[in-house]
Amino acid sequence: MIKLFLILIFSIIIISKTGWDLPICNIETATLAITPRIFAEQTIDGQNQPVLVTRILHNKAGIFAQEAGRCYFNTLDPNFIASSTTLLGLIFWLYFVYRILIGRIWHLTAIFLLLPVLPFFNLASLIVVYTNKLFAIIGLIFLLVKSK
Amino acid sequence: MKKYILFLIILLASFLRLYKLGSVPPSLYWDEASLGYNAYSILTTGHDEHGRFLPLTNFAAFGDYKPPGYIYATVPSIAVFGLNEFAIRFPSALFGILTVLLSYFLAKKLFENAVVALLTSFFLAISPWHLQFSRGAFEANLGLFFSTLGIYLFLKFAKDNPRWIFPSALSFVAAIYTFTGQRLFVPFILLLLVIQFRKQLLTHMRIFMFTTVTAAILFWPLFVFATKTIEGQLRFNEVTIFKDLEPINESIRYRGKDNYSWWADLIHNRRFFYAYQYLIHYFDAANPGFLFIRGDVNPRLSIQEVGELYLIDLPLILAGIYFLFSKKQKFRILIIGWLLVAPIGPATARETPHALRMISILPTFQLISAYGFFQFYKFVKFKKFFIVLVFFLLILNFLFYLHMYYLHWPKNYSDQWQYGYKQAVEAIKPFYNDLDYVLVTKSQGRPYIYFLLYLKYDPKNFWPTAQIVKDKFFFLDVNGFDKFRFADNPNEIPITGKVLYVTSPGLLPPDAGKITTIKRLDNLPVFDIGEVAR
Repeated sequence: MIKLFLILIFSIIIISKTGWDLPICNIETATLAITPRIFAEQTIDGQNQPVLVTRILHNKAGIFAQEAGRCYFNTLDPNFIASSTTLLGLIFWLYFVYRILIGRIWHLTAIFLLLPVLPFFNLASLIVVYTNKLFAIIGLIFLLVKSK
Repeated sequence: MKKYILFLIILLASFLRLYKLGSVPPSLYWDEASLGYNAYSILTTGHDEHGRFLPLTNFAAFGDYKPPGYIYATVPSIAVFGLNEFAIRFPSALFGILTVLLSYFLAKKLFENAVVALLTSFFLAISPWHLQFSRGAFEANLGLFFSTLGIYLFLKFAKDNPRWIFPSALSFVAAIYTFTGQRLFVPFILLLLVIQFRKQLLTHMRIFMFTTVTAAILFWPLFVFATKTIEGQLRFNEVTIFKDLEPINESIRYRGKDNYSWWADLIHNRRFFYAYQYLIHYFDAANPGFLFIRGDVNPRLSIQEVGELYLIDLPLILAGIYFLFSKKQKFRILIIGWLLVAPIGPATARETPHALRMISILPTFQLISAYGFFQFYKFVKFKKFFIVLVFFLLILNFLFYLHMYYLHWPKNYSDQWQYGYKQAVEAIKPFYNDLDYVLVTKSQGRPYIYFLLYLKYDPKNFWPTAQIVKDKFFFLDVNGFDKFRFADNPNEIPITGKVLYVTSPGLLPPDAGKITTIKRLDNLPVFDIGEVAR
């Protein structure tokens, strides 16, 4: 009974948390970054370096991948998760990740890893926030169930 | 075979840390210059730049009261190589190489596996985080060596011979005397070690007590300085979040909304606001953008194009953490605990995540990723393909890092390293004897130390002529010495005679004849130098 009460109280706190802040980072910003970065980096590479080396190190695909990586990791930033689930929620969220990895719950792991891709393609960014809340609550349940 | 591989790794680590050490980073930033000149001053006079005889707990320097470890370590280097960039950075590079070697022995003690140990040292040898700090005169890097040595010797105490606890304690004391950040790392890592090896400590209580008392005696002078003097607390008070007033204001605002009731005082207590701020800063340490994409926001502490770790490290670290727990590795609590306690101290500061203050987290990431790699290798079916794939991606990451480090970063961020001072000193040298005054702008920060350093100015001549003032933040500022006068705007100093001006671009007095313009590596002007006779 007490556990159910705790789950309810913490879930309400996690769900009612507002004011999350996810930097604007998506396919458009990644595409916009390509031209100026290629220009800046190829200018510094200068005349003395073989063109092939420059093309390998500073190309559209590489820069796009780097920008996409930045966007992906923005959604896994602990402070973003804390801002969407509260600090306590972050701790439950971390416990959730620990449990799905140790417990080899691969379908949840796959969802967890693929979710940050959504905001990059401008697909329902808000889902990430609410899924984080859900993960935090599941983590809380894992924690309380474990302590039985 | 393993010995040869280790030798090759150390050779690689040495090359990466010593190649072009004097010219990349492009110039000495002011702390490096200060460390170098203080070491030179100790070498030639036995006193620091302000004339204090062999300081034990701190060097006043800019009023930041630097710990003494790095300065004393630089004395022999300057004696051998002379007063130059290479000599000032050499101790950091040397102890960086030794940390790579140490990481091998540490990993071997923890995992009892030579392959994991070799991988750990290899990962550290090519780590962007460790390379960045091994190639600059960073006290933090020397501090890292001592704290890692302390941990390794503690392991030797627990596993080999109880006598090792004594040198372990000495290493921890040396770490504290070398880098301020270690003062908030060593107590926590010691606590972890004590918890991990409590049985061995209880068995060898006498030597443990003797070591504790000796270490306490050695630490006492620094403890008194750090806790009982304004100067000792200055730096901490300057950077800590606990001196911010915003959490108090917020607490008052919330309590006001609840009419200052007793329960509002309890719920909206300012300590909760500070605790919240602290935790936000603590969790910043795990910011994936910082770790894997961009690194530290300060271009002096990271090249901005690669994370503090390589992207390929991410799956290896995750696998490492997974296998540490799933295999119930004997020292998993110590390794993960080390990873978790390292950000405790840095989280008290405003700027987080901070690669420099968090450096004591190394080489935990390398230990974990090496273990992850090894266990993954045992786990996968296509072993050769796995090795080729991981090393291909790692080498790709590594080559990109090297290219950016040597070619792009110095040009993009030479201003962050106060580039231009050395060239300015060289430009005024031929005129110096014929001049009455040299007026220098303070726009690039702390010019006096560069003129002392690059002129190899005798400290004995500096002490009687130095015009030192303490600013409102308690920093020490030098307004002049000998023929030099330093000011935000040198044109405002009324002076007659034969004068040489070193000003910001375009700010030479109208009657001055321009001698030269000093440019940064990105070709933007940094100083105009001109001469006038009035």
